[in-house]
Amino acid sequence: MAKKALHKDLLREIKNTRARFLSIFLLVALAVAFLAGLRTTEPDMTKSADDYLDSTNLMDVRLLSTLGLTEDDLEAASSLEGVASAQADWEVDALVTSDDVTLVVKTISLPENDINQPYLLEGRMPEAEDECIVEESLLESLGKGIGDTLTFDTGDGDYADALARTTYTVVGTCNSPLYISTQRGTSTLGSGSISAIVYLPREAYTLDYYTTIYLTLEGALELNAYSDSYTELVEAFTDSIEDFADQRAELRTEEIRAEAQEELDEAQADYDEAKAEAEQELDDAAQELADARTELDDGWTEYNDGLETLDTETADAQTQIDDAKAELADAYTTLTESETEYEDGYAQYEDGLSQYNAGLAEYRAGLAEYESGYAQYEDGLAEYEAGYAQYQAGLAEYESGYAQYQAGLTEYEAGYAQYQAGLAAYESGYAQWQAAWAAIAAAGLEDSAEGQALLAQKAALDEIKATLDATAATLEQSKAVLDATEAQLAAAKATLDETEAQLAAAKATLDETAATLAAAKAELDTAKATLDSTAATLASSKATLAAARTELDEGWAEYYDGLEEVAEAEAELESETADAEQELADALTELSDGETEYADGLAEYEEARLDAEQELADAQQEIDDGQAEIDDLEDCTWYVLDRSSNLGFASYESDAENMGNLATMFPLIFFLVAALVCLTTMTRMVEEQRVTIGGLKALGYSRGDIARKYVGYGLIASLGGSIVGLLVGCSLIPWIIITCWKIMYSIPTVKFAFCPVIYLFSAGAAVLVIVGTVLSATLSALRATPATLMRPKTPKAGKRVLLERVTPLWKRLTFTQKVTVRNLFRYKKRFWMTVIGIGGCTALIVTGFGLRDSINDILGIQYDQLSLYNATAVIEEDDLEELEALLDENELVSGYAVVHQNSIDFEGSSTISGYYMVVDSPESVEGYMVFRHRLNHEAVELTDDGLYICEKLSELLDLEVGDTLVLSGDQRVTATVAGIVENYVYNYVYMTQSYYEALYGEAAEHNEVMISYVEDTEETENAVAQELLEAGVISSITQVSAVRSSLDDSFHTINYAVLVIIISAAALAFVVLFNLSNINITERKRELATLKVLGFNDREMNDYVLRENVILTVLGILLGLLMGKGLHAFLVKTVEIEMVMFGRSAKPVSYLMAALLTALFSVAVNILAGRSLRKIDMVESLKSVE
Amino acid sequence: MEFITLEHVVKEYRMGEVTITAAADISFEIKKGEFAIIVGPSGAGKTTVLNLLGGMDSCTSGSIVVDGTDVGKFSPKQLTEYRRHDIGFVFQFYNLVQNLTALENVELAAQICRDPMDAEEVLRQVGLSERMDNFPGQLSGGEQQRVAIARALAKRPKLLLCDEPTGALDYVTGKAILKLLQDTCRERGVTVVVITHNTALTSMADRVIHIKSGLVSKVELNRTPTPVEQIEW
Repeated sequence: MAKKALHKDLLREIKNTRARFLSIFLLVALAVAFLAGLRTTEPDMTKSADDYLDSTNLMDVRLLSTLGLTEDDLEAASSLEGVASAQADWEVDALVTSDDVTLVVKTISLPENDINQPYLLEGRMPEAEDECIVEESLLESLGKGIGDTLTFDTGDGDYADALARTTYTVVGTCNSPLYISTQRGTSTLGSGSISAIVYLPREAYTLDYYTTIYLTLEGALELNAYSDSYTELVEAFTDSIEDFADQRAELRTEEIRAEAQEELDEAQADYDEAKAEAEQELDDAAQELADARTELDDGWTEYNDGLETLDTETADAQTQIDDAKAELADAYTTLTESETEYEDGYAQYEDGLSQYNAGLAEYRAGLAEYESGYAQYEDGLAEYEAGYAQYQAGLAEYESGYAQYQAGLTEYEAGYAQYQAGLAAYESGYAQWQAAWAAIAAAGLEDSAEGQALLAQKAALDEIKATLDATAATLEQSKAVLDATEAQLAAAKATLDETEAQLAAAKATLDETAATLAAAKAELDTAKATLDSTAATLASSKATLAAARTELDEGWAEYYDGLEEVAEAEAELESETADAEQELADALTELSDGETEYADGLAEYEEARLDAEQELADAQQEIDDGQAEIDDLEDCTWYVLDRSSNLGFASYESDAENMGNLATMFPLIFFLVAALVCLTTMTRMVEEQRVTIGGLKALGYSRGDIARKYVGYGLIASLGGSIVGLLVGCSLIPWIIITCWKIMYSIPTVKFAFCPVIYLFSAGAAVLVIVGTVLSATLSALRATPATLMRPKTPKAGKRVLLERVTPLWKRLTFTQKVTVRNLFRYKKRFWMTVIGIGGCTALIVTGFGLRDSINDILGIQYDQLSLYNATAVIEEDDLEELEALLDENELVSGYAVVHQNSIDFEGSSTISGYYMVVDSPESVEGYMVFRHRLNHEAVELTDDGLYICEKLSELLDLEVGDTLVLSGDQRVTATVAGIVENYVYNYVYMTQSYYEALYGEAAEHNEVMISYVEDTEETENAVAQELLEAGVISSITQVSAVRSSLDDSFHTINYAVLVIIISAAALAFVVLFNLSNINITERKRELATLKVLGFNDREMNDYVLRENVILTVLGILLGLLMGKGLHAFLVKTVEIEMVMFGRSAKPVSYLMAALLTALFSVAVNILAGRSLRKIDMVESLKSVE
Repeated sequence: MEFITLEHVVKEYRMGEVTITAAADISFEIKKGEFAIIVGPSGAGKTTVLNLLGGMDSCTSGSIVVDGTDVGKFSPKQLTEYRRHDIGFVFQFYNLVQNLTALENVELAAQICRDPMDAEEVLRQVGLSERMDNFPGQLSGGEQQRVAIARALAKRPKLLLCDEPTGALDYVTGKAILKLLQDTCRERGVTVVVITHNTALTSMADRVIHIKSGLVSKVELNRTPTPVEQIEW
């Protein structure tokens, strides 16, 4: 199997030439890694950013308005065609203070529709209305952590009350997709530069209008935000809503105006009302005063009347009293007569009474006698009745005893009968027994059972007989008792009958006594009646007397009352007179007080009237002012902004573009160098294999088969290298660069874009170069006949070199030097390959270092040599004088200069955005700005003849002194270039005030101030910024140090890219040198072995071979430095972004570094080469030439 | 008096696990000023002997005394010095430096030794006075070999070692070269050792050492060596 043998041959070839295979493999890997890696960095960067921003649903379009946005605006915007989603937000700046730092933050309302979703790093999203999430850097600067509280102060301006509460608890940290770079923009609060973003719940905002509306567009999410199609989509949309924006703005203006007018009208109405009210009040007061006057006057009248009344009334009272006294004297006489009459009547009555009393006593004695007789009778009757009762009781006792007796008798008779019966029964029983016993005894059976039973029967019968005897005894006893009882009863009956007779006699005596007593009773009753009539007569006499007495007593009492009444009336008259007099005196005092009060009230009224008039006038003035303000109100303007106006987004784009630019040219050169070396190596390999090729051909292998081996070798090396290069390069290089970029951009994860074109291009180019070389070399070898091939190729003939013609010089050279020189020129191809290879590497290193110089230097030059101020601030309109006063006073400020500066478009061969600065005179900015030429540092004096443009602009627009360009701002004017000056950051043109006037026909207003500090420290910056912002004399301030450090950061990341370049270039240089040196040695192995045999020692061997390497390296380095200069100049322009000019030249030290690095690699390679020289076997010299 | 004495020289190469014995036990002497030929078939150990004699290698055991010094025990550095000053080497394929003219090739060797002959003189002696400034590529094989001999002689070596000096040459040229070598030996008294597989040449030598399978099989001494012109092969 021919192929199998060939395959084996191929594999063995690879194994035997490991070093060569590896070097090609590595070269290809390096070249492909570098080319593909750098080229995919830009797509990777944009993809990483796009994926992140898509994940946060970043807005595509932002709407801003000078007068705020309303709910209606939001609705209108969300119904626009092409809008996927709309969200209105509040963004309010605030100050937040920790122990010793005060920072400005921008608070943003948490998204409602998920647009611009913050990227949560730690903690959680706010859930309560007093929670917030902030950027991590804020917590670091404030020395706080999650769980701490922050207090926000929104200042005294428009947003003073924008927040419902001021204190919030931090519950998490986040990144804001709206701010992916380190820049946070400016603010009118505090130091003027925003430090961090804070997200607050929507409830936190109390504003009645939104500050911004964010839109996402349909179809935008699917596109890469950095692609042209995205830009086109967004641009088409923003163009389409221009009219809409104008309409909304107009509506808003009207609305605001209407609202304000309404408010003002209300105020006017309020004023009118208040005015009427005030006037009413004043009138009321006047009325009150008049009433008081009247009342006072009435008081006086009343007082005088009182005095008069007192006099008349006192006289009347005295008369009445005198009358009463006379009447009393009459009453006394009448009473004394009545008293005598009464005494007589009373004596008569006393006599009658004593007569009656004697009769009554007589009656009372008779009655007592009757009563005692009657009592006697009563006693006798009672005695009788008791005896009778006793009798009755004894009778009853007797009868019951008799009954008892009868019963006992009956019982006895019954018992007796029973006894008789028992006895009879016994006797019959006994008789029977006797008969039975007799029978038994007859039978002699006394002891038999029957006998025994009969004996028992006999015992029972005996017992019954005993009982009967006992009963008989008892009966006899009972009979005796009954007989005794019968006798007793008979005796009792006799006693009772006697008692009955005694009682009947006593009854008759008693009845007689009762009749006597009844006659005595009647007599007594008659006496009683006589006495009672006498008593009645006496009682009526007594009553008459008592009535007379009462009448008399009353008369007396009436008389004494009269006396008293008169006395009282006299006293009353006296006190009443005194009271009235007092009352009058009081009234007089009251009246006097009233007079004083009235006078006071009058004065007060006057004063109040004046005040009210003043106040009303003021209010009217205020209202009039308000009206004027409304009339002057500026029209609302809407801004439709896309992502390109987002600081972070735009700068990331330009940085990515930068990277892309860097990747266009640079790796290509790298690639070419590597390809060149591979090419040499592969050609060399085929040449070495002449004999083998000849042998195979002689054996009859086809050209294709033979070529396949070498092509296979190249293919395996290049394809393997490409794959490894792609894998390593496309992951490692973008990863390193993007990771470094993370210092500036908060893109959380690196994403790799799939770029088949780049992969295919890089790998394809590498494979094509190698395989193509091998193929052409093999085919050219195959063209020869096998015989020619198998004979050793005639070594390349030595030749005299040009130098030998210069005999004097040639003769000076030592022998080995001559040999070296001739050797160098012997292999021209190798010579050039080596020189170009080394030169290429050196050039790459020079470019790498040079790029770093170009980038790093400009900030130093720009801010230490050209722009000497420390800060610039935008002056608030009309506040220049106040600002100057403040700056003059400020001890931290060493000086300042005012200029006019504005942004503008420059139109020449293309349109570039930049700034123009108008200075009063060159002297006015001396010490703040330096105008000079870049190359010779010759000062440029600004004249009134034209514009002085920065070098970058002159390059971009291809302008020279004397050319014209168009300044396109509010007006378009054509200006002449009078000079070109050095400037690196931003595109600037400078002109004098006179030239500005010549262009625009009016003077430029000072709107910008450049400030220099005595000492540029952070404290100074903050102090000055705070003072000026608080005073309201500037609208914003930009610290040079901040700009510088932000640019520095940006450039710093480029340094990493440059470092990658330098390292790659160095690696390339090393591989190239090693490879070339390796070729050199293998190619001349026989020659070197021979020299060894001839007795050359190691040092001489090294000299012989390595001197060539050294010379080649030196030549390569020199060439490389030249190439590097060109490449660097070219690359700087490619890499440069529009707004910055990079340094145009690399520093000498960079050239030196590049040369030294290459030399260092050369030395290292030579040391390796020396080792392989020593390893050369002298036996090689004996071998036939192959 | 023996100029070269080899005693029980053994040379083994270790190739990983395998030990190859290139010279099993070689002993012979060559006297000063002799024209010696070492002959044997391919792989017999001729080249090993040459390498050891030429100071390109050191032996495993035994001694190689050249002019009273045991070079078999030399360090690499001493060997380099030995090659440099005592040995002249003529290769089968001439091994001239292509980039140097004939004269320069001779000078290349001459400049590194202590008392070299004048290069031009040597070249003249080998009959190349007309071709001194030619590069090897411009010379024929025989001429190149002459340059190689001149290069070897310019060092005034004690010993001239020739490895198949006619191997790459045609019959006539080969003879001329052998003549040159024989003349050199006779006229200058240089000890010449020629290694060849061609037994036909043995008659021209003073001493013929036959080597077979790493051993000296036979040493012949030739009282009357045949002049080269009369040898046919």
